[in-house]
Amino acid sequence: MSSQVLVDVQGYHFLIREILLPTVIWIQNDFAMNTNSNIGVCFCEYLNGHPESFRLSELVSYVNNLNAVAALWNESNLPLSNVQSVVSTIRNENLKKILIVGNRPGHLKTFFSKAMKCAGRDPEQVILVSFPDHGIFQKNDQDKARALIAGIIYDYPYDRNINTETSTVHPDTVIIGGGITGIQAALEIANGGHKVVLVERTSSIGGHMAMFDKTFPTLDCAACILTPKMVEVGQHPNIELLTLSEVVDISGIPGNYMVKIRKKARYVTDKCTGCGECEKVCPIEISSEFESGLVNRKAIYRNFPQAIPNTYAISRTGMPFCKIACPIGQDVEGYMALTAKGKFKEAHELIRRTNALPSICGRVCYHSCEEVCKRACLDEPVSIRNVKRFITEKYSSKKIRLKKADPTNKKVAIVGSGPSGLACAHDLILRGHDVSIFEKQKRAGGMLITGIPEFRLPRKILNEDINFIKKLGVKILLNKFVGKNLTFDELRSGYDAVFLATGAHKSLEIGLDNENAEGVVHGVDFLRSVNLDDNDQIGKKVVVIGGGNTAIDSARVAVRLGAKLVSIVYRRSMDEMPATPGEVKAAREEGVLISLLAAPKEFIVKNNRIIAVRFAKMKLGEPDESGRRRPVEIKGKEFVQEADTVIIAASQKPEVDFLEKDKIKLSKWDTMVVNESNLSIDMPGFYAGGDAVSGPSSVVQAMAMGKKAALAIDSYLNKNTNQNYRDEELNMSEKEAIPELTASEIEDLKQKYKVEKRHRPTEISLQERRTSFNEVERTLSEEEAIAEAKRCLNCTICSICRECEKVCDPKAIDYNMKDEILEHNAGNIILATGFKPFDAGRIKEYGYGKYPNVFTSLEFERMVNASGPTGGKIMLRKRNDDGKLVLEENGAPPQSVAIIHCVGSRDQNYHAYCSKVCCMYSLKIGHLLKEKLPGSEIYEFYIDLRAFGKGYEEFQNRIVQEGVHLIRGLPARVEEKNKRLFIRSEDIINSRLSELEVDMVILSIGLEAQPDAEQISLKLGLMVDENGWFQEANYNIGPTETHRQAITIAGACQGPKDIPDSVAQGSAAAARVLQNILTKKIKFQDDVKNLREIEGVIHER
Amino acid sequence: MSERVDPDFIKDMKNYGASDWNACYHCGNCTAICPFTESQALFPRKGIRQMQMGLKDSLASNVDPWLCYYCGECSDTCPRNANPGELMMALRRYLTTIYDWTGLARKFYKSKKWEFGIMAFLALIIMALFIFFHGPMTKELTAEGGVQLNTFAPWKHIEIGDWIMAGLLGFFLISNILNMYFKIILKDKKIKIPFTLYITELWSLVINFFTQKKFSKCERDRTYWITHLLVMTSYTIMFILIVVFLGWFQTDSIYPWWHGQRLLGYYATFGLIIGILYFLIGRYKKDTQKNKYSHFTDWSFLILLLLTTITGILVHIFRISGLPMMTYYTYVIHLMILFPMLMIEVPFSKWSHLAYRPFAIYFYNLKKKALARQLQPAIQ
Repeated sequence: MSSQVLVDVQGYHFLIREILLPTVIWIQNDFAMNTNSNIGVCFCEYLNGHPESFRLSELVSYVNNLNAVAALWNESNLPLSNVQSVVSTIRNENLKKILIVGNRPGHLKTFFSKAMKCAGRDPEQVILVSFPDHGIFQKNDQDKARALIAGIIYDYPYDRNINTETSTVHPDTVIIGGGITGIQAALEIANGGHKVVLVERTSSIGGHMAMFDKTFPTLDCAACILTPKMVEVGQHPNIELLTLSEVVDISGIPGNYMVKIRKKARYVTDKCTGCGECEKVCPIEISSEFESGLVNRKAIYRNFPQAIPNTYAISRTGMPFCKIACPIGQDVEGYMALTAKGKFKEAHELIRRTNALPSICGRVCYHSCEEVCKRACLDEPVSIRNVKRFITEKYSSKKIRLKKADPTNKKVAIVGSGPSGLACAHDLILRGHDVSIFEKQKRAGGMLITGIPEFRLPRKILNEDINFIKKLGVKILLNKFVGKNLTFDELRSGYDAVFLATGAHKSLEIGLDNENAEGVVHGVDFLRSVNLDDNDQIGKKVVVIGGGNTAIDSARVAVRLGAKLVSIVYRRSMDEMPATPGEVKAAREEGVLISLLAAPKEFIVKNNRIIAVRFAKMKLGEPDESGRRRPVEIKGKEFVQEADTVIIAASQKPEVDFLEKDKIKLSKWDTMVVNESNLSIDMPGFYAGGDAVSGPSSVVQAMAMGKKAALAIDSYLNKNTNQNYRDEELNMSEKEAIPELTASEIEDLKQKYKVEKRHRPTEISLQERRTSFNEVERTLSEEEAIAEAKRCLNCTICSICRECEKVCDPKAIDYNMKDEILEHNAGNIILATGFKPFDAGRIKEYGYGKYPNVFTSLEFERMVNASGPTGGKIMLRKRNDDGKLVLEENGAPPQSVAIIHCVGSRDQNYHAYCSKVCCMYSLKIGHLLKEKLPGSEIYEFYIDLRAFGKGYEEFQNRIVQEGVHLIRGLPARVEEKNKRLFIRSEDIINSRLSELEVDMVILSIGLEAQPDAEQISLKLGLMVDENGWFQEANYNIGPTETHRQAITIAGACQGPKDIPDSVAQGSAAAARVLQNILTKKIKFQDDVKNLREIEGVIHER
Repeated sequence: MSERVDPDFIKDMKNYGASDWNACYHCGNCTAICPFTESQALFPRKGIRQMQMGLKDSLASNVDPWLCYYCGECSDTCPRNANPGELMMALRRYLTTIYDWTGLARKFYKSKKWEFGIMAFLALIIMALFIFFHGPMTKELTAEGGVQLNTFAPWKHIEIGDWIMAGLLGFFLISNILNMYFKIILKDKKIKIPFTLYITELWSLVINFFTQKKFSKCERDRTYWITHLLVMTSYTIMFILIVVFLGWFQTDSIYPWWHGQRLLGYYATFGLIIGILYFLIGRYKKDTQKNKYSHFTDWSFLILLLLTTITGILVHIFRISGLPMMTYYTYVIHLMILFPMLMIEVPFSKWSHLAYRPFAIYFYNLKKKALARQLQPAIQ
């Protein structure tokens, strides 16, 4: 296919012959081959409105370079109020002819005709060059536009030598839109023996017709007519049905298009039997589009039981911010949803799947998930960490069984039982490997036990998580010191892989004299001695040097051990302090003094025992490499602080003495250098992670490295050749930067949800805090935790709580499904994208969304439908405690109903056109109401009643006979008083004002074009009219044709239409397609050749 | 009684500021949204229908346009952008010419030449009167340092002129109202209004004249109503001071600022200036429906009133500052604007609404109550 020469999409339009040719011949007769004629060209402004569709500037410069063109205007700089300036240009340049070029050139004609007349020229010599009339719509039509303009300027009949190409028609057809029109067209073509690809945006076909209860005027059951057709589509061998799919691009030539289709992930495979068990357990509810928002549906859903395809689908809109931000990729949304439903066991299991140490994380994690929580834009982030803590306490881990893979008989050694080692062990044992942990200390836990004081992490809690890992089968061997009672050779020979997670436990010295004096200790050493060895020795006046969490912990421990005066001295200001603000606040509450901008200069000792520290005052200078401002000493400003204990909490580094230093590469900070992608070190089978690699970091960061190593070791042990580790479980590739919310998104959130502050756990008394190691924060109560979990906004709808996966018998759930791009060759394309119902909330006067009992007609269709959410019962609505509208299940049915016609139609403020179907369906609604609620009073407010054509007038008469009151006069507004709705309108026929009180108001909403119709039109090179409906080639004799050959339109995407009309158009479009397929060839115009030819002729002259 | 359809009526109505009313497709939204409509008063739609059909007789007896205070809600929500509010405004201008038996109102609304020509003519008469009959233009000041204005234009003489003017105004206005009464009440043979009703309903006339009580019910337009009330009270005070108490008002002695004469004068001028500026700026900005469309008579009325007020203030300032010649000239100019303005605006143009509106409400109430009484026995 010579697509490089040809433009992307080409077409040919008979209007060229109809309009252009007579014009050109006429011009020729008048100015026979007058190439010297001076010509002015004006470009209409309307073109600029579609920068995407047309590269105007290129066209302007092309036209400017044509030598016959003497003057050029653009509508935007045209002196419309000053004809005289144009007149003088015409005189000066001796213009003989003026071309107005653009999409709507007509409106400038009078202006230029006047100017020509004033200049004494023939006012008839103003020529309109309308792009739409010649099928020029988009950037692909540049050449055609050039040829057209050049042809007119040089009096060369553009149309005289049309170069046509012939293409062979591909027998397949793509139909966009799976409503009744698309279904009809698909069946006609498929039954004709040709292949059809039916592309539907939602999860099932049927479109709006599937939502209706009855059809007018025959009052047939809509589903009874539609379902057999849908089933036929689903089973037809010639129809390939693509649901949840959208066309993203179309290229090629008429008769041989290439259609790119994005098939969105359904997350449920074809194995689904449609049993519906998943729907019962799904904890997520969102407003149901198919039920028109009348009720909620689950995140896993099927529009209706007869849906085709009868496969469930999961709504998921990407990855939630909390999961992206979490280093270990915890499914936060999942356990929030489960907790909100009171499913604590399931929530705990879900947490344990990814998180080896959830009880610990529920206390000490720095919760980056909460930092990015969308809820913060509304009020406060969800208290995720506290909910996690509640879950781990509410449902004991002793009762949790995680599924383990079959044993692989591979042995893995992990050195170090800190968070990194434990996380790695947890993930590896679940993958079926035999894992042993070697720990130097007498108790397992690493920094968790040596570094974190008991009031932040009770030992009971720590042991619970470690015991859970032990129970999974991990062996923890204590007092095993690599390099002393365990050698590297033993590790190498005894194990298939080794993970080194030895942490960073060595205190950094600050390099002052007397740092080893009695009474001077280092932070981690101090904490270790207190935590492991039950040391309770502390002085009266304690000075802690440093600003990290270790400094704060040391100070708070010192308070609890009985120190009278504890002060922290930090060399920078509060803003640079690395400690968590919450911890700093807690320390201050407990009486710890914090001095800023001071650094120790000298430890003053007496008999090798510390008595005081001399500090220098500091100020902040230039930022250093870490981005924090470097402290600079203020010369001569010093002070001395008395102290009998000094705790130096500067920083830590890994201990490296035990390592085989010739084999393991170390950085200048003594951390191990690893391969970033899989954490391997130069020794085969050896991996390293945690603080030993990253330097001092947080619990969750260490765990993340442990998990990463586990996956790498797993793939190494399974001899996966792909050593380049890609974290598939965490979908690292999807871990995109978290976008900032736009102002409109925040506004949407504020509209949708009401402000609700987060629930804060209570704390033990200050007195208790200062004297005991009891945990400071209490756990949330059950009610608080559930309420807190309910605050989660479920940003991505499905939360991957894995409940459906558990109950799915045929194992049809696949959370790893991805969007696919499919490519289909097609000779013909049918557009049947249908309409969108008017948003009744836009008309504030009618109070839709504000008053519970104002319904839209579509909502009523669902409600009255026997397979709808109420089973056909007509109910009123009320507002529940959350402010949401819900149906009153046991309430009385309405006694009086008003139906307002023309909502959003025939109104210059919304849509000026008539939506064609509303009169008839409103009458039908009147009938259904009379049928379901005999004795109720039904009032229809109309402007003009449009019951045209076969059977409609009779239908109207029938409804009036049934006793529905018709009132001519548009109600101005609906008002609610005491749960009753008041409608005031002029009763024009009776010449009086009607003031009605009803129980229910139904708004007969009009039809509007799909909001993305214009976008689709650009992709296809079609045109939409001012209301967004697709433009047909000819209103009368080509209603389904377009300006593009082999692209047809059908149904309500061309304009408001009822079902019979839509079906007729579907068949009509199919007939056209079958004609193209049968003739096998399509002729279309080659614009490039035409342009070259015209340019050649011009050149010759 | 059948009535002839007049298809050319639209051409005539365009003079009164009506736009293309064929846009209206009679959905009745405007009637339904208006807070003043009742089953007996279905406007604006019904009036628009009468205009579309050119039913002049029906229009002449139609009291509805005077019940509309042009809050603009109907125009805002009209599905056809037919501007029912402005059509009501045009109808009020039209009705003013219908009630006026002299035919002058019609001339003034349709032709700027007529309006400004007559105005200039009247101004010249005032000027001529002063040229020939003014008192001595003494430059001597009073003991307090004020100008001896009463020497130049003795208040007794001026008051005679005031009485003549008031008499003319009263004559035209009352005869027009009688004409209106004839068209609205007497021509309507279906309703017989008992005499007692005329007495009992009189309160609505008085209340609506002094407070525009009904106007205040246009919730959307409270500021407009308050401003209107300010201007109305200001002008009424001024009018009474000039016509009835000129001797007390136009003095040569300068009273302290808290004196009643000065306080009333200041209130009136303040109210007028603030109010007129509010209306002028609104019309200039076109910020509300009411202000979007302005007929040339709307402008001329406001500008004349503003000029009258400004010249009045100047007379006062010059007088107490002891600038005799300035005082005299400004005084003459003041009267040259004041007199034509009153003579044209009050009986023949926009200002006539001061009488038509309250009387329209009065007549409407009469008809409504009478109809209710007529129906009552039938129901019983």
